[in-house]
Amino acid sequence: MMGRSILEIKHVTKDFGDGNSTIRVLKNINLTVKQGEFIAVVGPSGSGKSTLLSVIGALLTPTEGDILIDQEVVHLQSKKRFNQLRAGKIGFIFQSDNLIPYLNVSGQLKLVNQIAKNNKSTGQKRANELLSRLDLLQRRNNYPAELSGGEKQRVAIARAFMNDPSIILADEPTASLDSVRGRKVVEMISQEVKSRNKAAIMVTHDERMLDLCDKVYVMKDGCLARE
Amino acid sequence: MFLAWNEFRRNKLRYGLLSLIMIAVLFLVFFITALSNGLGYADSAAMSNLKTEYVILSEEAEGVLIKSELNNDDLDELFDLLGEQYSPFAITVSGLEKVNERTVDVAYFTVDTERYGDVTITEGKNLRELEDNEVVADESLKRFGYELHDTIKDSRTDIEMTIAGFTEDHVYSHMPVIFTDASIGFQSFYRMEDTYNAVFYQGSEMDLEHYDMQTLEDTIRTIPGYSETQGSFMMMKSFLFIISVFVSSVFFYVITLQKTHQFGILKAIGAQTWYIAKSILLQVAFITLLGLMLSSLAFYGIVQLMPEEMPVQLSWQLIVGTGGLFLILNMFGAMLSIWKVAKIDALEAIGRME
Ligand SMILES: Nc1ncnc2c1ncn2[C@@H]1O[C@H](COP(=O)(O)OP(=O)(O)O)[C@@H](O)[C@H]1O
Ligand SMILES: [Mg+2]
Repeated sequence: MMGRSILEIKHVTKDFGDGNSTIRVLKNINLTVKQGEFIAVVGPSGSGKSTLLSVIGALLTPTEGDILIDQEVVHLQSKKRFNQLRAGKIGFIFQSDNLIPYLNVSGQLKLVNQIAKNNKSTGQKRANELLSRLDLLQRRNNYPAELSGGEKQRVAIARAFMNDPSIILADEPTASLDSVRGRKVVEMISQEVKSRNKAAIMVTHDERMLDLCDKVYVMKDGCLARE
Repeated sequence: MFLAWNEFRRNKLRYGLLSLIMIAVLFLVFFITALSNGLGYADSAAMSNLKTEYVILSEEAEGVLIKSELNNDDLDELFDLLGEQYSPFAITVSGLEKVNERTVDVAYFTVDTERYGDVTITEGKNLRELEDNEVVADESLKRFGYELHDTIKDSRTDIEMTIAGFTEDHVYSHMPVIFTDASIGFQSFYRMEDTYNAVFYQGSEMDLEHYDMQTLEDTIRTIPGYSETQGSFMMMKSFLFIISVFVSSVFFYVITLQKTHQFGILKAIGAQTWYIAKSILLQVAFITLLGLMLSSLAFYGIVQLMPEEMPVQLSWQLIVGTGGLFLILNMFGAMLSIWKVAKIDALEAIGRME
């Protein structure tokens, strides 16, 4: 079942320059994620985990090295293809919630569907399915300002799954959830990965979630190593 | 569409206020432009509409029409020089007696009704068709309650005349113009003998001894205060226009800049810049067009309420043109901030992911 690689990271480094000094946040990262794999990244705060996810998700361009999603080198693509990649193949779950303030819960999902240019009625069906699985059906007409932190995070998760992505990038998705809901979310990510043959990378601090993941990597001072 | 509309719905107050500002700014532009157009018009419309190519003045007048004095001898001499293409002209400022009321200031344009040519007539007879003691008056006289076939009486000479026709666009120094024939005699109003201001001439330019010949445009330019008045109106209009266009487009620039974070999120979930831009442009267009509609409505309403003597003039071309320019520049202001967002990484737009 595990065969084709969805994500390949080759010799990736990332420097941040503030003024005249530059800091190397990612140092020669190599990683391959295959279909059906659910990977966890742990590590102290400030070690570069969020930066790694941003580089993979084409939110940042790597200073050196290549990132291939479905055999396509991401940062060599045109701007348009870049967006298509993001809209079609990557599902982001940010560390803090990043919902559009003036759209209600269904609207957030509808927006993703519209941007990915997917069929309206299948989108509707998918949204309902996601909302019921994440216990959000009652809140579908509420706006972000009316939701609790946990609810917002679940909406962000639903949004990440909405476009049927090849790879899910989750940055501490359970940080604002209680452990029962948190585990449920991670189980859901795992289930999605297994049943649909996707891939996922999750940054987490919660050791209790690690048993749901296939591999655990440790990030330390910008270097990534298998645990 | 989806984004634009939902944002409006969730932020009614913010966009309501923005529309209000737009309405106010456009209203101001329309109102001030109309007023200064109207005042500029009332100052000299009659002069611009005089039916002649060249104006001949006495040498001493130094090009200023109302300083020029030509007597009957001059007229005879000019007639010999110019022939049939000639027509005398005199301006006399006086008043009309109104029963139980103040006098109405008017300007008599004394002409040879046979020679002067046709003026635009809105009602009644043209100059050539006038009989004894009949005159053609500017429509603005109607504001004082006069109608066709009314008898008017000059307040100083007690001469009585009948309004036989109405013309338009003949206002001189904010006074209605009344065309009278030389037989009525206002050319001898100030002196005992006939004194004209000018002789009009159609044909090719000539060099005349003892007289100045100049084009009508030159004559208008040398009206005392003319260029100062028109110049300050022009400056007022242009400054108002530039400032308000600038303010409104900067407003849209800033408002859009505030949405940077939001654009970052949209980019992160794969929205193309054009998708974001479309929604912003739609919003700008909606607010500008709404402002245009409501402000021109408000302008129209105010004009109805204003006293009729207030000279306002605004063409629909100017309204449409102003609206178009505001639309383009507001969109440009908004696009400037979108362009800035398009250039940066989505993550920077969102801000640090902490
Ligand atoms: N845009 C940036 N500019 C400069 N330094 C940054 C930027 N983003 C992250 N960093 C730095 O990179 C390091 C790693 O950050 P991050 O990837 O957020 O760590 P983690 O997610 O593991 O806590 C930190 O020292 C942080 O200060
Ligand atoms: Mg982090």
